[in-house]
Amino acid sequence: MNIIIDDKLCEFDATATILSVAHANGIEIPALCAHKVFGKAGACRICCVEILEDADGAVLEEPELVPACSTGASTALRIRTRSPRIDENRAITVDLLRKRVVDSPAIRELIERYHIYDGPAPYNADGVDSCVAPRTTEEADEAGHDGCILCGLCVRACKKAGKRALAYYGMGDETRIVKPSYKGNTACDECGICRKVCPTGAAERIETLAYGE
Amino acid sequence: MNVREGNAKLLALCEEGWDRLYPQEALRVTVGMSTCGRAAGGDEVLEAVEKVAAEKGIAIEVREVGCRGWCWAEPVLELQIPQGPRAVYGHVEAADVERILRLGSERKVAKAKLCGITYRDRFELLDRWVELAPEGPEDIESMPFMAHQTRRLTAAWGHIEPWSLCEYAAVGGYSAMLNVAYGMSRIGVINDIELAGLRGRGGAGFPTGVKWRSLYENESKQKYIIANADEGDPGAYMDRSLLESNPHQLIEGMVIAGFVLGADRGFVFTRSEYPHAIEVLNRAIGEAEQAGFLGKDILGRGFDFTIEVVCSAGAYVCGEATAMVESMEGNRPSPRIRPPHMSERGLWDAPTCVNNVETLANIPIIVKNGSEYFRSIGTPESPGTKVFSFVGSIKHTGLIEIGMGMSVRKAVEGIGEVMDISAYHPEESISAADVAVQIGGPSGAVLPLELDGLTLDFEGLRSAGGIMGSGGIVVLGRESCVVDIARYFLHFSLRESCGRCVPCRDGLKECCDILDRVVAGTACENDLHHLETLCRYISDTSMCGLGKMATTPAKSSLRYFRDVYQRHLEQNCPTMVCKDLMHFEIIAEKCPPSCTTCGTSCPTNAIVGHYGEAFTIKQDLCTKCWMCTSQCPYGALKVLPEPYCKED
Repeated sequence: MNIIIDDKLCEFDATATILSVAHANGIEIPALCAHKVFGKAGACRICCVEILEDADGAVLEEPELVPACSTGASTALRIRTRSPRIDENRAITVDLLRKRVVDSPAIRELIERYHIYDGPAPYNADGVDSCVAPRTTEEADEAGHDGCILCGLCVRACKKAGKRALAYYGMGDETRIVKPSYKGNTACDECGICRKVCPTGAAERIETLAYGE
Repeated sequence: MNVREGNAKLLALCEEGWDRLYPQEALRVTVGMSTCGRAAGGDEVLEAVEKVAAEKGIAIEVREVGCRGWCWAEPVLELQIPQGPRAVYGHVEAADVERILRLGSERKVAKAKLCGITYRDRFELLDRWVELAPEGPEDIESMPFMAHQTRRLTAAWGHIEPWSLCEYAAVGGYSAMLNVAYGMSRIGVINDIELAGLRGRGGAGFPTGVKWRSLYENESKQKYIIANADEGDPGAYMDRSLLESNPHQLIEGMVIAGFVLGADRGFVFTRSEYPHAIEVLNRAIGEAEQAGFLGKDILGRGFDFTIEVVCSAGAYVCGEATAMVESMEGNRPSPRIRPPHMSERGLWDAPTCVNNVETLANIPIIVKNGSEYFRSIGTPESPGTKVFSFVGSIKHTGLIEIGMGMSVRKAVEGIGEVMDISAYHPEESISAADVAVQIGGPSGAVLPLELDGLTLDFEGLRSAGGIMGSGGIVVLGRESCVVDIARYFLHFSLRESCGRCVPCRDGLKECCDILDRVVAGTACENDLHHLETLCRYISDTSMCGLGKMATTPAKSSLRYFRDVYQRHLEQNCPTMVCKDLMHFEIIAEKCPPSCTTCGTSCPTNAIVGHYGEAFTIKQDLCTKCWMCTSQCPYGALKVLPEPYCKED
């Protein structure tokens, strides 16, 4: 089967996602939460690309925005990975993530590697500057995000390692990752896989949620 | 059991139910005892009915019934005179019961608190009874609240005992199930539903026939049916009322779905906040099982189907089908990535049909009456009727069932009747035309009532930038600020977001921060641009329906009420709802020295002064609860639509 990504004809097998096809063909799509081994989460939304022609070959009037990590390559015939709309969305996503982790090397690397717009000048067509009010490190600490961008890699890695010691906790912007501990018992055996996969180093500080006492 | 035996069984049930609905000797007295009825005092009325009947020796048959949708008139009492009319009373108090029953036992209709009367068969002359209620009893069907409605789904609500199988059979229930079990082909049912054009009543409006066909064609051995009754929208309660008023409609719809799609287990996913609905539903399931309409070998057709009630732990996002399935499996309710769709891989990896309860309850109507009947009302794209819950500043709050495509204006002005609350506001603040409607809960839009071509159907609302949602209509009169409403709903969506994807979790937080600033009067013009950009970004990139639609209240209010936002930037809230942008003052000349009403009524002791002189308000203590304004007999309290500035 074939798909055209940014005017490049790529071959793929039936189960491939857009992201895996692009990476196999040397086309770069930024992605934070998708992982070769631990799978996809569809959480960071930074890998969103536009479908120009759907699987039936119909040209879409308004390109459809889909996450490359969790969309099968067979759902489209032609996609593009850069456009003003995609770029703007990525810039906003990065801005929002940087509110959580003000100075993270992982995000800095992402910005540099994928040329995501970073700076004070207008990044959208309306000539409006960043729509996300920036934060200082102290303010981010106060918000209690602890440097975590909630990509969920640690939770998935822990599950894959057969332990399921980590879990999401809370709702909305107060969501965080915790290590549940029932009457002092936790499934964690300190294997350290969470720290290994964590892009921001926040896994060093996962809080223990004690209950059942 | 063959066709003949099945028919005979249903007929016997019908006759039993008919005798219960229209007793030959006794008065049938029903009291609305759904959640709304209980809250309004239905319990006391019911108690009084039993007490009075025992004391006076009046032969009655008392029934607890569900909600007929007249929330504005609760508690509602219905009186069926043997071989006579049925009278419906509203706002009934325990003290009224005696008179109603006494006159009823003399075959007369008491006129106090009478809302209207109706007849078992409409051939009977209305005039015969007019002299008994000299004020002229109004026919229920022609009441302003009922005249514009088309009651199909809700026809028996508040009339029959909710869990009673025979009463449901007496109003035509379970005949559709019999049709499907003995006569119709499975594909014939799906064809009928497709021809009828039934669309999902949960909000998205996906064609039910298409969903069913894809499940029908799936050859998996294990399939599940889930009825979605997890309604969390603020201001919406249709699903609860359905479960409390006529759960057999849902059971019948689910059995048909199970039979047609080849599923043997069904679940009703509802909320733990609906204890009464769960109780009624379980009782109805019990009756259906006892009659052999549910369980093993239904109607002797070798088909098994069971229904279990599953209780949500309370997350709004559980209303999203994939999150619901996650929750049922025992996981955190976080939406799954689609595809695969539910019809391919849903609950426990089996193909699953998730339908809203109202959709399923419509199935028997279509099967029984055919697609032509269903299409006879509504628009070609959105046929049929839809139940809306109607709240806000209107006289007649409650449930309404109307043919789709009715203009919002007709519904609000004709059925609901906008309340006049001009006393609250000075004349210059906002014109009467500034009534807005919020349709569809946290994912729905805030729209001006006067918008041209705003109709209550899927297309009409979509073209205006909104969605149908589950069908909650909140009428926002002059006491609601559209910015404050948008802010409330965005905060709601943020609080209920599963917190997984960036746009919904962090983007909504950013929007909420901006709206907080607008409401506090500290926002600038740039903030509105940012809000628009963020709204577009969030609906572009979010993972599930909750995130994609969460910004609709903000987007739509920015589109239609930009001027209101603009005035907030100038530190002025036209409706004086936003507390940071208004304050109270006491006009010393109007305040008589001997009155202390405002001081004693103030819950925070913000109004101080000495007996014999005019009182003053300590602005830093004032919580702007409006208590003093409503209590002051002299009109000495003035509301100023501007923030309080300390005098130097």
